[in-house]
Amino acid sequence: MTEPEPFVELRMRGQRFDHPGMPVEALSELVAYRELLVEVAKALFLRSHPGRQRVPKGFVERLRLRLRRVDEGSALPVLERLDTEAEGFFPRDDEFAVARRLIEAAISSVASADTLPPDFPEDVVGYFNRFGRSLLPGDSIELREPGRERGAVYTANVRRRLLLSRSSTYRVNATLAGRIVEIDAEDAAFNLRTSNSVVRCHFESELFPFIRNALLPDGAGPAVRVSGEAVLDRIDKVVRMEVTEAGYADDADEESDTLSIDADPADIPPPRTSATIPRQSDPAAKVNRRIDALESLEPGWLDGEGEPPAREVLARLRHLALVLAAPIHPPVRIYPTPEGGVQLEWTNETHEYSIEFHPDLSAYVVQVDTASDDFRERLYKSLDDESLTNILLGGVTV
Amino acid sequence: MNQPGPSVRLDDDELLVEDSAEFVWRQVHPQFLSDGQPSSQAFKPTPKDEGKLSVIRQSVTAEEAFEQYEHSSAGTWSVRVGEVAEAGSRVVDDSAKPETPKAHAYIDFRGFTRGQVERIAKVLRSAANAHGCQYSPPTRTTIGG
Repeated sequence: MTEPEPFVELRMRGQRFDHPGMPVEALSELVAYRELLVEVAKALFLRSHPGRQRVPKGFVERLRLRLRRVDEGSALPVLERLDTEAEGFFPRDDEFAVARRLIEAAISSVASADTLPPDFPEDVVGYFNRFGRSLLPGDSIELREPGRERGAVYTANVRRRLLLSRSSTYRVNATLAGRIVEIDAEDAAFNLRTSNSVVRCHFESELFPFIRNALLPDGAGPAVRVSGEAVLDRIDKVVRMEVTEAGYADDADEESDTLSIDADPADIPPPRTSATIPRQSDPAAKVNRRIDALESLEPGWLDGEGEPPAREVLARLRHLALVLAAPIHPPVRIYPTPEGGVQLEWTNETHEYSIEFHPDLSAYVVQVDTASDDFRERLYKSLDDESLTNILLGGVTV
Repeated sequence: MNQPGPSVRLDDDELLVEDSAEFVWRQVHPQFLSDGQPSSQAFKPTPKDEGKLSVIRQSVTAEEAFEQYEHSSAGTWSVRVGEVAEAGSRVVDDSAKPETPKAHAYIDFRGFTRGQVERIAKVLRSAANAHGCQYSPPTRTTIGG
């Protein structure tokens, strides 16, 4: 095997690249770049071999890129290409080297003239959806051949124009604020009403409890913020979204409404993106902090008596943290019990409520009308999310 | 509310407290405080209490009650004797018994079912929370989520 030699330099510029080293999240761009490179190279091979349906076995493996160093002066990851043992060498102008130059040419051409080079394979333009998705306003990636002084400068705006040159939509990382007005559990999707539209959002299954709790009749649920990958049309309207994170929004979120696109607002004309929504803290953080405190209790915490809360109970509480933190019911207070359980308590204008989780995860629920004799109690063998939500919202039904 | 009170007879050296306007003080363990509010657990007896929830009568101050308490406390909360009666229980002065703290009394939970105990504790918690903390030491911080 011959010595590896520099293949491409990706100079990353922007505020977050000012410090030594490279932000970890930017590593995904290297992976996406390699993927784009491979797809362009495959297309070039098939173009020059019209009779073939696919690339030969071992084709992709010929591209062995290694990140060996990050040079100083913004983040400058240098990708080196290793030769393969099978071949002993690689041609300096094989499909991968041509693909590298074509990608640079495509970026430069769109940046200067809004057109793709005629020899750029159109079928793979969509792979730019993955490359550059983490670019923030003010960020850029300069792709250049080693030894060259200048290369092609890739920004969020160039990426958008490049993608829209061959498609009616493109994808960005985005955050939306609004209210959940409909859930389609079968399709793992919900409709989010923002100030100016309703956006169909698909979500990961672990978000379901949160999504469900944020839905109330007549769109009266709490304001939420959802983040993920948004599909935008030519006028930058959100067509749909793949949601990977969700939390409750505060008033400021609602006022600033509705969309924060992780791209340069000076580049993208954002009809609905005038303000960047500040990042919301974890809505369940307060509940989890309280659970952390309970977790540190030792035997005898109650003046020499008192079992520490059972691990199973605390794990159950953590699972329910988002439900407990939801602003659609009165604030829930959390206390340990001397028997190794946990008591949840909350109050509204007329009633006192409590749920006592026992170490065996059974739950004793009590509701007291402090102004009358009305008293209700119920023992649950276990309390699932739905029952808990119902109790938090409507009390004990007997 | 007028729930039936406990049927247990008082000892000869015990005295039923009848002034419904009088406050009695209750110490709240730091772990029974969350968001500045006491738990109803602070207003129900543990098994070692044998149905008698310790309180201190108003003849000592809320601060003195805190100072003479020998266990952990986040502060002194209060309920009125009349509120205890409304909840269906009673306040009994047992300060004449040997080795009993000054002005000691208890809220009587003897003879009640678990559900009744829960109901009384929650009514008392609600009343105490409405009165607010009567004394908390300046050097201590309340804990809780």
